[in-house]
Amino acid sequence: MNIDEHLKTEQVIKGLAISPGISTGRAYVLVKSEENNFARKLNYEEISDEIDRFYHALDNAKKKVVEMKENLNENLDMETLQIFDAQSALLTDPLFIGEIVDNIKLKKVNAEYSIKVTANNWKIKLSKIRNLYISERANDIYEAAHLIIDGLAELGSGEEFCLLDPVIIVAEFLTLTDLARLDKEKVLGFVISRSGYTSHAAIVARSLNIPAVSMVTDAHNRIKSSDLLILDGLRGYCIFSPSNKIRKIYEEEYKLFQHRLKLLDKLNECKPISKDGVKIGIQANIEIVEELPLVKKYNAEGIGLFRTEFLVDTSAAFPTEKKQFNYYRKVLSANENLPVTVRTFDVGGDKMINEIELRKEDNPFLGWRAIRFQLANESLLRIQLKAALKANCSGNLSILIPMITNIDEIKRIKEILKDLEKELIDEGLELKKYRFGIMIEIPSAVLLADKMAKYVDFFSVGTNDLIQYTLAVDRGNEKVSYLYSGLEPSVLKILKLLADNVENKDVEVSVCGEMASNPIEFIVLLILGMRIFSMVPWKIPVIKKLISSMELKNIADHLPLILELESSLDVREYIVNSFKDELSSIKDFVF
Amino acid sequence: MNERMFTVMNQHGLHLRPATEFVKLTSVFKGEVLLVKDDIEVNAKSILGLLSLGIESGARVKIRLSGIDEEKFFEQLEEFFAKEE
Repeated sequence: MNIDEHLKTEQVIKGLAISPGISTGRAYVLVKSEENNFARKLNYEEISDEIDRFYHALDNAKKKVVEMKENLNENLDMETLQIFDAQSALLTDPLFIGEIVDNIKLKKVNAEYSIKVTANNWKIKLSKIRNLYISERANDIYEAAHLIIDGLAELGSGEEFCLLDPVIIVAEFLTLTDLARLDKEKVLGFVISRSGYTSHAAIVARSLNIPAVSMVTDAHNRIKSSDLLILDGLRGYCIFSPSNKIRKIYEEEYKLFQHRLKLLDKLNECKPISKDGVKIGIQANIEIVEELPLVKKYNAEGIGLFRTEFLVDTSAAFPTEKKQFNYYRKVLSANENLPVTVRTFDVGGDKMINEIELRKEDNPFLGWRAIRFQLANESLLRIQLKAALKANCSGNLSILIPMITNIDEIKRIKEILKDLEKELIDEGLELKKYRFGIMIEIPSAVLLADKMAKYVDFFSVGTNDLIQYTLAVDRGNEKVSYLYSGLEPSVLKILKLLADNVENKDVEVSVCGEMASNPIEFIVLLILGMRIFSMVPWKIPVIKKLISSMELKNIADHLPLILELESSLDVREYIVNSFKDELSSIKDFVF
Repeated sequence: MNERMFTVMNQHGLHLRPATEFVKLTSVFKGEVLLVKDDIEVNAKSILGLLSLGIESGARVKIRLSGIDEEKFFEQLEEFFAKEE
């Protein structure tokens, strides 16, 4: 029985897994002063003291924002720092402050209540505005309001929090201040009612290895302090008052997770060099900048695939050149300027840009996506390429274009790049060297690879899409997904064709699809002659271990044999039998 | 009291970041700054007031000034509203 089956008899809320790990512990519900402060009627004589108390707390809050900004200055980009400026502006807002003071005076209520009511009114007002850029920031008012309320709490009255025992923190949301005030040693996990994958809380949790689940509806109201909870940051579960049975199961899950972490660290000591001294290139695929430390931890030789869709997903509008520049610069300058392959937006298909009304297509995967979309909206492509070129501070940039169908597309992009190079020079900027490459994921690109090689420095094979387009199978469709396999003889043949087409051509070929991190498929790719791979960071240790247990000099001898096989099962069986010892070296690791 | 019309060129309108910049600018003006859009008038030193108008890119807004060096300040505003990002 798997965990999901066992959970049917438990009280579970499914949330969003925002930081991996497992923990069991008592809840500590972080009561925001907001909930804590009911309206307290003031006597006439108390009013002026209460207003003084408010101004005092306001001053402290302003100072705190300035302090936080200064402390974080070195680690944050301009955009985040501007959040602090906005907070400062809110804390000096004459309307906001005026209304709070008026409320205290006229309604004769305490400062906390008055702040809460005022903030709430403004929040409602702003969230109704149709401009997403504004309505999404309505919560910033709350952050500002809380800074003052926190300030009032520090002046006396209100709850101080200090953690005596390790607990799972439960909160509606966590502000930067909350996180700064927590003793992280005593935090077993976070359960948060609202906060996305990229919220401050999620980023801090991941960087400190604290499990966290978010979007647990109404968590802060449903959970009481000292309730027993199990937090599953792998699957996004929060289990209330767990039975003994499920506690036992999760004790095992916890051990398994810890074991996996230890194993990973141990495997990570391996070098990606075969027993007979052949060096294999191992790079990392990343999606967000918070993964940069993992690239270093697992000794990846670079970022073979930096997906940029994150930038589109998190904003309502297309990201500006400046925003993109800041983001790319951060990645390009991290990790001692290791090579970074920036892939242009792979939007359309199943990923959409909010701002641009895309017609719903009958066949989105055969439709207006990735470079097709960007060539039709050339200004967007120019913005992205220019931002990347500008951010290329030490010549470690590679530009990668997804979904290339034909040579005309490549030529057009090269013209655009030439234009942009000229613009950069005209603007007096230094143009650093960079590499240009395309994704090989449409069969037509495999067929034309010998000709395309002339125009590019490298090919990056996106196996997921190449398999999908070779087999005409949408693996997300459960009725046909059984047909999807990287071991299909036709997939092997098309990869062999690619290898033949690039033989003796001056072009580098690497693989960035999921085949690269699946041990059996990885071996097939080695047999096919691939030597450079890029994969999700946490799979790197296992693949390195596998490489170090293999002999590669004569591995191509298997090639004629596997090309004779007639089904994916035969191919699997062949690999499993021929590489028994090598595969057993990693069998302890659960996939 | 002196007034002048401006067009908001910022591509996403007067959202949090440009509004923050705007308030930084207006708060140094010695005197009163009012912003009028569609007959609604707000204190232009208030970020909440500005945000609540939901000013989109291309919107026409009227600024009313009464204070010191009005003409010089209008020039600064001209520069601000012309920025596209």
